[in-house]
Amino acid sequence: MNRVIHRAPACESFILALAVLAGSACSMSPEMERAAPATPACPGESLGSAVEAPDTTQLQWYRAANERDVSLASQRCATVGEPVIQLTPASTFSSWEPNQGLEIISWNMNIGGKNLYRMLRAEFGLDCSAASPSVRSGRPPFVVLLQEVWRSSASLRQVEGSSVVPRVIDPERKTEPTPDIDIVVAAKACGLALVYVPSVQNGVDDSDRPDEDKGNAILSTLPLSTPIAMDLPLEGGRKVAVAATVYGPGGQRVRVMSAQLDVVSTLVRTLLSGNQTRARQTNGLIDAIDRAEDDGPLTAVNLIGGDFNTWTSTESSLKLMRQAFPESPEWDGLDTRGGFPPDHIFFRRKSFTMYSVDGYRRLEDSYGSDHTGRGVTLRYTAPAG
Amino acid sequence: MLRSMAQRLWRGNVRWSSVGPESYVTSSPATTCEALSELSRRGRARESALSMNASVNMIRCPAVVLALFVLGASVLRLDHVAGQSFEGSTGSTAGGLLLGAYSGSVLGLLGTMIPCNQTLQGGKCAASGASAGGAVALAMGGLVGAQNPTDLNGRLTSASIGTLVGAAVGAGLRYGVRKYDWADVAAVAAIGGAVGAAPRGSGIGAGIGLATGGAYWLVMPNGGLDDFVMFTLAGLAVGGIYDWALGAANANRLMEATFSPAFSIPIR
Repeated sequence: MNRVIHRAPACESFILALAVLAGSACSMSPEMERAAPATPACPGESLGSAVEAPDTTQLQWYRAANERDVSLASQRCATVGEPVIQLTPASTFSSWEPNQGLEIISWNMNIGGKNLYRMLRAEFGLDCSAASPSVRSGRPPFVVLLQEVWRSSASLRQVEGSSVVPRVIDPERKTEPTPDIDIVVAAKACGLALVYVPSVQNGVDDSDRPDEDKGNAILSTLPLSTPIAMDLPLEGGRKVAVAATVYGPGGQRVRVMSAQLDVVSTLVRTLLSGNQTRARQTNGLIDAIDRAEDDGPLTAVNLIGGDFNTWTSTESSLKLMRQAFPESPEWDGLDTRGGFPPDHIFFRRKSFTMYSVDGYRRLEDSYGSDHTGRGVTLRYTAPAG
Repeated sequence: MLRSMAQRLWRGNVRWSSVGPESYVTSSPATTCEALSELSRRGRARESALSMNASVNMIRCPAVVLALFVLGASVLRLDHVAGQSFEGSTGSTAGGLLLGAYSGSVLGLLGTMIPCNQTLQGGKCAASGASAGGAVALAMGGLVGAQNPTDLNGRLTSASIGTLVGAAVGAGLRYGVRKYDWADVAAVAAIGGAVGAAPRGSGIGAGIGLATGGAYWLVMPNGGLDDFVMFTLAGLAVGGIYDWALGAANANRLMEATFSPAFSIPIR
């Protein structure tokens, strides 16, 4: 017994030393999978050359380089239709004048569509019911960054009982007296420019087949260019952020982006990643934006709005975004979905200090969605002299 | 990285103008150098940021812990097990190491993953939590296995029950959540097994955490569901690892381990 007592501390010390070593070794972190142009995986996908200037009228794709992500994303995007790119507004709207703000709203629509018209009328004074839609006099141009929008298409592939297609959101709306309007129809009715990239089908095919896909979109009264789709690292579901460029009063490119991250991943992914679901997607998003910037055309002024599905205002993903977008407006302490703060807007301008944001706010109305949107004004101040 | 940099260097003499639609300008040599320098700097900064912010490949941790287990088992077999009074076998020592490492790493991960998800280094932080929990419980599990095989057998039994309960819960979740598959069922079973290996401490800890989290949620203005879950999981983890430590402390005693303070309170 005595021998045990004398020998045990040495043994325990040895094991504890090894334990410390193990702790250090396990904290070594491999590189994050990077978003990069890879092989075509989705309908209508074209790849830009890595060494040539990209075509600013064609949709450019960035996706996670990890094979698992590409494989899973491919399964999902095989169920959706082609993206819709309509770079020029059908109606005539005012241009972005110097010393004038560009109104930007980020809003998760929760699929529903008919309240989009009400939101556009209330927030921007845009009447989409007129034969020639117009913004009330004196109102500035605007961009709307939308998440969870839907598009109806008869060309979608039949998918039955697949685990890659999530449950349908709001299946009853087709039977309601006033059916919702899909994003493509809404953009046409309002005369707005549109970039819509579906991420997944809205529900599997059954007797009440939805014929719908859903994703993120950008609506604008200003002409758009350089549309980009960023197929984020896949955790629980496929998320594709969209980006497009508008031109500021001085001719500078301003990239606007709409993104949505996963609310939860699968249980096994949550464990294996240490609950870094959204942080991993955020790293992919930031990397894709940087790569797009490197690939050109140079677009130093970047504004991104989205549903980051964060549980708290201090989550890793938000900290990463604030680090990458240092001129972002401070969070105002207001939740946008129940008691959670998932919706945010981030901004960076690098050396283009003539651009700034102000008026960061939560909208007064949720317009029928389960999220309340966020708004901000992007201002351009002409350099003196 | 090198390929990416090479591509940037290849197109280095063409630099997009920052002004004007779809236009680019061919830069002067000085501008090219400036552009390359900027691209190189940006690339390095991004690589650095990615490395810092990287999510953690947890597969490395089990490998390290397994290697540690083999080494620890051999050390215990040579120096410790043979010379003790309440001696277990080499098998029980190895089993204790393995069960402790598994239980502690899962508990450590569960306890740290929510607070770690509030940091810039979330992946590293959670991996460190898993490693620390695994390392502590590995050491304690080795001592339990080496000195008290009866206790270890009890833990193995309760871990098995925990695994079955976890599998049943996981199967229920899989039925209800479309995106969950059998891997997720296995994940819940693994959590059940890890908790089951330290049943009393985990239960008491989770209870305390649940009560604390609930009170925090109700009382604190900024408290929320995330705080409730965080406190519960932290309580579960701390209680579970304390269970392992207590098991090791009591491993060479004749009496059964009890969950009581390791000091006496003088009452007159």
